[in-house]
Amino acid sequence: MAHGPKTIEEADKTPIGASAWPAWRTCVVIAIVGTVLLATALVSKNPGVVGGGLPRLAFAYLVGYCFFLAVTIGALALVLLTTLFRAGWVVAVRRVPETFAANFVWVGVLGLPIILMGFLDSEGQVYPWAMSQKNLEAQIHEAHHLLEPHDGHDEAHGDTNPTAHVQPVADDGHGHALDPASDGLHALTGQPMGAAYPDEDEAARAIQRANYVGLLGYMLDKKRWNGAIEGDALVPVGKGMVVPWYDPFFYAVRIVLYFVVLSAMGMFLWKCSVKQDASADPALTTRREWWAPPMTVLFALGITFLAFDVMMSLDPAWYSTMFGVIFFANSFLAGIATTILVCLALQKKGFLKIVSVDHYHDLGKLLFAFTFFWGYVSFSQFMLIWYASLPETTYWFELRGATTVPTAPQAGSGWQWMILVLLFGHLIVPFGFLLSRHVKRNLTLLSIAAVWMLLMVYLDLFWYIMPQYRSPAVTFGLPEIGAVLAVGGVVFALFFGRFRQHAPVPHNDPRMHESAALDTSAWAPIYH
Amino acid sequence: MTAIDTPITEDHSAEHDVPAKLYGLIGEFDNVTDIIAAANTAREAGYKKMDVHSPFPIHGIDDAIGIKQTILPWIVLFMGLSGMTTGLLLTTYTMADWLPQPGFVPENFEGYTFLISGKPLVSLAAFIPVIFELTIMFSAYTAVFAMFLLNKLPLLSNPLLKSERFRRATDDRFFLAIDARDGSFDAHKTADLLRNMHGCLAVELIDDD
Amino acid sequence: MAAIHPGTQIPSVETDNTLDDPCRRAPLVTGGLDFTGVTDAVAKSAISRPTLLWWVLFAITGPMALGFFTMIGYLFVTGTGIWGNNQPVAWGFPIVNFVFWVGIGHAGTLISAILFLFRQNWRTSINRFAEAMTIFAVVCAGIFPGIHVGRPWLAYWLFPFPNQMAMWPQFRSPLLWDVFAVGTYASVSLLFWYTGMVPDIATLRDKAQSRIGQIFYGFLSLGWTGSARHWHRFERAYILLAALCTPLVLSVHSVVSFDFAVAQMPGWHTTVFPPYFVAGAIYGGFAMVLTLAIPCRVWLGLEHIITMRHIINCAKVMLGTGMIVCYAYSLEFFTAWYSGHHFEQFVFRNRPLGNHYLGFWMMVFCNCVGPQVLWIKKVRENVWGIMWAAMCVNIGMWFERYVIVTTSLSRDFLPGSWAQFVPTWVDVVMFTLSFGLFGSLFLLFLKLLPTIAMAEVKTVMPAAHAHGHGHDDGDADHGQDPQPHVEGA
Repeated sequence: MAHGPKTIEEADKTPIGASAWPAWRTCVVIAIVGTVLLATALVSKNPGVVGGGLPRLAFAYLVGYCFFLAVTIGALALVLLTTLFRAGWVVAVRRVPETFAANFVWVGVLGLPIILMGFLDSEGQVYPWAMSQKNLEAQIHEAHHLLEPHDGHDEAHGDTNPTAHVQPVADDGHGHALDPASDGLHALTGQPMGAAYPDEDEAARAIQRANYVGLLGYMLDKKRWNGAIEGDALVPVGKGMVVPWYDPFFYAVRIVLYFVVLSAMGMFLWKCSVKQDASADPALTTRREWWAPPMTVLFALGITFLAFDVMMSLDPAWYSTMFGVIFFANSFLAGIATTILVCLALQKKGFLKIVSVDHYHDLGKLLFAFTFFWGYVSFSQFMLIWYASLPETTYWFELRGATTVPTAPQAGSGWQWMILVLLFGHLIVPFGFLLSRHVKRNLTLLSIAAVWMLLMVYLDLFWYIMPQYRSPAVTFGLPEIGAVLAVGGVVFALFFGRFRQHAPVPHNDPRMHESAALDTSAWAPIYH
Repeated sequence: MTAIDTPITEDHSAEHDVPAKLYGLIGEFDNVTDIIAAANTAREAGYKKMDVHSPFPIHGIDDAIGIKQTILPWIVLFMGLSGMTTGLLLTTYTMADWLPQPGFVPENFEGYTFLISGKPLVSLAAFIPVIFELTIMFSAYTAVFAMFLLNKLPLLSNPLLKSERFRRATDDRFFLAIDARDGSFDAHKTADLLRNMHGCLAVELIDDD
Repeated sequence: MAAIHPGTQIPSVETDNTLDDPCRRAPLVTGGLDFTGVTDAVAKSAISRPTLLWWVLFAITGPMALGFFTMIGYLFVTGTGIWGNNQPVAWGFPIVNFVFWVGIGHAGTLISAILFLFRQNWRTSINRFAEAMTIFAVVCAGIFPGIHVGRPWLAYWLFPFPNQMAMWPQFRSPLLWDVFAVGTYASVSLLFWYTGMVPDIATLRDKAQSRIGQIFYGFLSLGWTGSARHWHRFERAYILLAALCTPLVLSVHSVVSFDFAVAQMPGWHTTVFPPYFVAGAIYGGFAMVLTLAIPCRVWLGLEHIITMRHIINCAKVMLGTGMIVCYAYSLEFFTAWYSGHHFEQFVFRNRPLGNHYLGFWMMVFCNCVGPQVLWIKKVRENVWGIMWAAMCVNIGMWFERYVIVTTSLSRDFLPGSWAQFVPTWVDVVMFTLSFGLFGSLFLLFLKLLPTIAMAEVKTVMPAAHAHGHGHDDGDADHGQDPQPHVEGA
């Protein structure tokens, strides 16, 4: 029903100041506890609940980091897109995502270990492309040895599946024939191809790994960039493309560039907004809106390549043009869910009085829409790769448990369950749940949905990243939890540190009255 | 642009006989605020069988005349789920030979099994588009047809449409219509009530024949 | 302030609503139009006799449409050999035209469904004829795959019905998904369009002077009386349809993109195809909306309802979706290089330099270069500037589909199966004549039906809202005058 014009209370105009300290302190404590938990990765070499050494530490950190990177990107996206579309409704809650976005630069600082991995990881344990040439050659040699035609493991599939070796792309005339064990085509179709797999699990895994390294060797061969296929009269492609995309220095430069651009945006949008608190100058809004379209272009490019470099390059042989879009969908979900939860928490403490159930309703609608959008893009990526059955892309899904072959190493593993959890938990259940208007307007139910979606976003990122550490085994334990707490603690401590200094509501925004009078039941709201 | 019409008040005084078969009374208004106020007044005066006719949906009118939430979304949800089930069964049944076949189904209606591009007969991922489209198709058709049926449309002959004045209900005027079947209806009293409402431009008696 | 007597013509006080002032929303209806003014402006073209220009245009498009059907007849009696399609480019023009037309048919539903959910009030002025355009474009789109099947008299085999052959459609085939997607889309769009139009047809019924008009509109309006109870369910149905059409409109071009992307064909098999195709479809659709809206608003005298602000907003949406399309193009090139997949690399080298390079450069220029002028405010506020961009996109989006279809098919894995695609005169003529069908349907729509969603436009006028909450506050200037106030008049 229509609300009367709402006035902004004084509490919404004054910085929350010292009342943020308890929250800040709690965040710092959480961050310290998290760091200790994260360090338990170093207690032994055996990955279990704890342990696993440096690679485990790195992967656990990477998942936790990417999760809060997603939250920050989502917050930036929410501010940026609503500015682009000149939205009025969002103003009441905007200071929260704005503050997260303004801290982008610190999220970049937290990303330093990832840049360092490019330089220090000569074994290629996290980013295989960081492997030194010497180690790479050794790995390829080992892989060739495992794939020798008369090797014990190979007889079984060599005979039953003669077509595997005439795949035009699988065997590219470079001696890196692909084994059907890593060939998701058969794995995913569920056809009785069981005979293609040796009985022993161990052998199957070894071959899978070997194939994978072999493929990597081919893809990563330094010559690839300037003429590995030069002998191929048919397609002399690659000539001139000598850019070492995965040179650690270039990698570092790129990551720094993404963060500089994204941080500048976050800072700019936040600065304009807090300046307006004091000056009430509508020109600041005009300025934000003038910059929004070019910033959106940079934002799209920035997060796409950020996702490519930080997550997709964990497997440098695999590629999907959809990857950046899926990361955006996850990020946006995380950003909206975080905004909902932080606003609710602040309201519980008596702040943000202007925020009404209509604002949550609108945020809930976005949460619902992007749940579906995530499903749409994730399904498209899976279905297209599954359908085309190209060996160079399907193995990626098999590593993540997307297989129906009972003898595949991943069959029955935790990854297989995780796919089902993602399908139902990230798409079907929240879709049905958030479909109801009642749920979106009930703050308890909506906060449950928001927490749930954050969990699912974490799980999705975990599912993207962790199989590169170990598969079919699923590694989850204290280091992973610790990484979330550590990064989350820092991100939230920074949030409160910044949020306390300024009014919790951008009360002098020229569209504030629209947000204050928000009425989601109106067919066509009119603001004067 | 438009001159405000001089308020006209139909004379329904005692010397005019009220037609035997009445449809009801309509009062004409020229703005949203007045029609909402009028509807509230009529509701508070105890009228239940009444309606507002306007050229566009008015925000806030539902409460004023006491319209309950429609069940349309539930019907659509149900039909959407039916569409999904239909899609799931259609794709699975026609591609598989292992599903039970009731005796009354002729034999040549069974699943048409053939392998293509190495896909399993029942490939859920490949069926999703068809299932999805059928879900949408069922729900959308239902949303439209159920809406018209709940509104008891099409109804090509309606006593209201005979009124020359009422023609502006689809243009720029707002009408409060009080049904003669309402318990509190009394042609004279109701006409007085309408006439005395703020902003009422005209009152007209509608015959039902 | 001069006194205003009843009947005084109030001059338009604000005609330029293109200025951006964050402090207040620009009015969406200008020129001092009130509710009747909107009704009269829209109903005029439907209830009056066709103008000479209308007859001239119809005299061009009508025979073209007839010619189109004649060409289809020629095709049926001769066979598909009259087209340039051949192995390996078996898809050729018919599929290029299909994707082109179905893409254009995305703007209408986007405007009426997605922009509705985003509470973009400006959509009300353009949604009706954008939806009409959608349906006519889908009609044109549906014809091409229909006549491309080779034996069109067996096209009914596409539908799942029990038959004496004990045969069912192949549900794992993307081409069959197309039947379901386009079929659902066409019929649901038609329903959506018609449902939204019912109250406006009722307006025409009440405005019509001739008996035939009253019967015609009376029949189509289903007896709509604008009852609040009806509006209540109508609004719910409209919201539900919008919510259903949003994923539907995404799914349709996604399914069209699956036709390409599920294949292993380099240049086709890429995972970003679904959202990229959807963005491209909206890009092309908005270009067509602008192409039609810019002349029609002047021709039909609707400048105060389809204001310059509406045109600029459409241009911005077009520019935005165009940027997504450019993003996808770049990503495809980057990924082809990044993947190290040499067939992919070859295809993406072959596009700019190979056998269809001209098409590629037309596509790049028309989609990625030409419309960039819209970044400049001065150009965006000039109808000729917008028209230039829209024409670029109309051409560019056709070439995009041409490039996708022909470059990959004509240069696939084995050089032994390579062949050049050369369209025949029949290809070109059929495509050209399909515009005649589209134009004829659109002209009939302009003449017979409400071109603007009057009821919806009225809801976004300030007078559509009750003032405050006090009902008996005796406020004298309620509603009647939607204009702000006549200042210094």
